[in-house]
Amino acid sequence: VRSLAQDVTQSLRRNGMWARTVRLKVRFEGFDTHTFQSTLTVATDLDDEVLATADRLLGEALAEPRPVRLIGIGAAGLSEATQDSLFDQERSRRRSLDSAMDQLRRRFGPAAVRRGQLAAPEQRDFRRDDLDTVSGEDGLK
Amino acid sequence: MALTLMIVDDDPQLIRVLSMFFDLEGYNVVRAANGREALALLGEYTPDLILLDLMMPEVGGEEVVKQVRATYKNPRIPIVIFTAADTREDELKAAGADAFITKPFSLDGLRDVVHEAIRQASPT
Repeated sequence: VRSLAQDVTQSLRRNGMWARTVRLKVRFEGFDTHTFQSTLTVATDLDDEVLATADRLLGEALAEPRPVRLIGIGAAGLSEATQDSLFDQERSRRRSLDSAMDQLRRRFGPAAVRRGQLAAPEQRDFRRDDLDTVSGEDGLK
Repeated sequence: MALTLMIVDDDPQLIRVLSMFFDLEGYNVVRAANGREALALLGEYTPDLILLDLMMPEVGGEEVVKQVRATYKNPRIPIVIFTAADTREDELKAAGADAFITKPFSLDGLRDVVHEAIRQASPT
């Protein structure tokens, strides 16, 4: 989930967009599909904010453990990125870090440097399966 | 008082990411672009930990470990090394490295390794 969430934030930054809503789609056994979402107080493209939200949504989705067929992350409530407030320079510094990480990943591949404690690559082979409907009309995937 | 971390890596993009991350984590960060620069800076700074790339031109990470252990004995400076998966960790540990992190890595995982190495080096 963190890896997928980081794909979303990277896509937001590449497109110069911020998102207010993070969506998690989970397809359980029997093709029972649920969407969980959370609207943030401030629009964002920051890794740590989207990752923390995705983590929390996953906790809600798996409150009762069930076999999972598919997981997708999307962003909605998009707006064009603007400048951070002069009073919130830490967010600007975190954004600079995320952008610097994007540059490293473009050079060495998506796994070069990540946030969070991630699963081993072979545990993420399901990525990109059938995510078309995760984000809705205004989201990214 | 903020802890001081010396980051030694010859890749400018990677050292930039690491510096920004640990700066946000509240560390004072001292950057060295290679082993020779790191050894020179150790005359001016006594970091609380050295984060060291193994593969660097001229003075490599292994040589830095040996020289740090031979020269700076008190306080003992913990050293965390970036390694490839096939690194001879046993030999490096014998030379004086405290911990390893394998590339590719997660920043949060690296932070945990750094915290643990500093904690273990701190007097109880």
